[in-house]
Amino acid sequence: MKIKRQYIYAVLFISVVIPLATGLTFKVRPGPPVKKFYSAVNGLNEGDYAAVTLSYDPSTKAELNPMVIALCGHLFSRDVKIIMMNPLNNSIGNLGYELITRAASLYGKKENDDYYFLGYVPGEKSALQNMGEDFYSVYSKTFMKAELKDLPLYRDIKTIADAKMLIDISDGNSTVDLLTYVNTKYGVPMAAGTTAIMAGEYYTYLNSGQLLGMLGGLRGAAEYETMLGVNGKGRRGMAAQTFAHILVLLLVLAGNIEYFSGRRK
Amino acid sequence: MLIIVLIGGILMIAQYFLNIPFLNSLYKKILDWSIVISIFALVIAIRSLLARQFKAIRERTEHIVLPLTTIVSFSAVVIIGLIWGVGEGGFVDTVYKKFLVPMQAAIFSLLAFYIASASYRAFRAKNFSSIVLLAAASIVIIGRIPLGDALADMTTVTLKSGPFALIDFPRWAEWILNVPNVGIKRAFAFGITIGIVFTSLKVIFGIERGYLK
Repeated sequence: MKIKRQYIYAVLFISVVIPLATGLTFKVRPGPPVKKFYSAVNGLNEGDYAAVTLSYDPSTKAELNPMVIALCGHLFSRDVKIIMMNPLNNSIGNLGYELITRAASLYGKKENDDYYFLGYVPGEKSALQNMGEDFYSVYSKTFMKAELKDLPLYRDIKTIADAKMLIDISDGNSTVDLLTYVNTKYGVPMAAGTTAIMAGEYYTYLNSGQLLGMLGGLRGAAEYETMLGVNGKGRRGMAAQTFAHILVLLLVLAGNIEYFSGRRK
Repeated sequence: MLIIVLIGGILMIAQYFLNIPFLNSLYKKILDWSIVISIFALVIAIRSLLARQFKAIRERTEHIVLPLTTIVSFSAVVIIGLIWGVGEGGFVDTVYKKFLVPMQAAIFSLLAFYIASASYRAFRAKNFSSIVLLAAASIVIIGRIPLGDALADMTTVTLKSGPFALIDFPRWAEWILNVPNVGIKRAFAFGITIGIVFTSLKVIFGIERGYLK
């Protein structure tokens, strides 16, 4: 007997909605890539600058926003200054600004002093390379149109190489571009957060030591939140992911049983 | 043209490896030019998008509502942006947060339903390769959820060397991602990179001239 598509959709919908609606959470054990990521961020000192690039579309915000919120919280709790920007993606600016502003309000951090949101500039790879030569030839104003030359950032940062760390949160292969044009050329240590589907791609760079750590998918966000001791959307989403994964496994099993029983007949 | 490419290519390669002030300032200048050129590319992209949509309307294709929607949405956002600005809290920001963000998230979330349906219909253990793929996928699927951690905790025994989990899906998943996955990705990366280097050299030395046509 074949399972109708509509039933599969209905069961999946229920198995995702109920855990999210009830706020169910499970214990998550942090793995090596997340532990490395946590240690790398913990290695930053008070007053250091961390550049955070957002390189994702709003379509993957469910997986990546929890990482951004947790990361901002971690950096703010250590009094690290954040330069957030989205030079490789022009559709995340407003959402990114909202995320960092929300995180900053929880830690009492001030815009254009403790954190800077610079948004998008055209140029992509050329813009990245320019940042390594003269940061202000790429960005002259913040997202909210404040002149950078009037801000403390101008005194402390001349090129991207002055940032102590670069963290890319992405849903594509922007991390490879940043590794090529910023990490390799200007020696800025890098870490990354990415979707589960892209995480497999970045193990190569994690293994070689080019990435100091990695958050992979919602699981990565949940592990990071566990290490930080917060109960954010990453951990809450893991319950829904658990039921969805189990359902997929059961469906694979059911499909194979049906296939082999059909062949025997 | 070939001479410009030859000189430009050699200078840019030299710039990467040598620290010569003249080459560094030339490099900065060329980076500025490339940003300006990329802005022109945006204009070409908009022109090509709109031309394609108008062509579809002129030819009265079956789904005429799709090009119409594209043109209306595009024009509306441009007009709103020009009149009310594009900053945080503005009209474009509202359009972005109330339309684009939820629509993109909704479209992407539909993927979960297709995956669930496809896992039932397409994922068959028909031969050795598909059995290996199925086994690896199952290990990663369980290893990426808390069930894998719970199984590891339940089956942990204490050996002389320390605690050891008999059923440790997260560790097995990590091994799959760290060893076979990385090996294959590196092979691809080396191949692609060597290909890029040789294609670039062919362009610089005038062997590959396809871009001139």
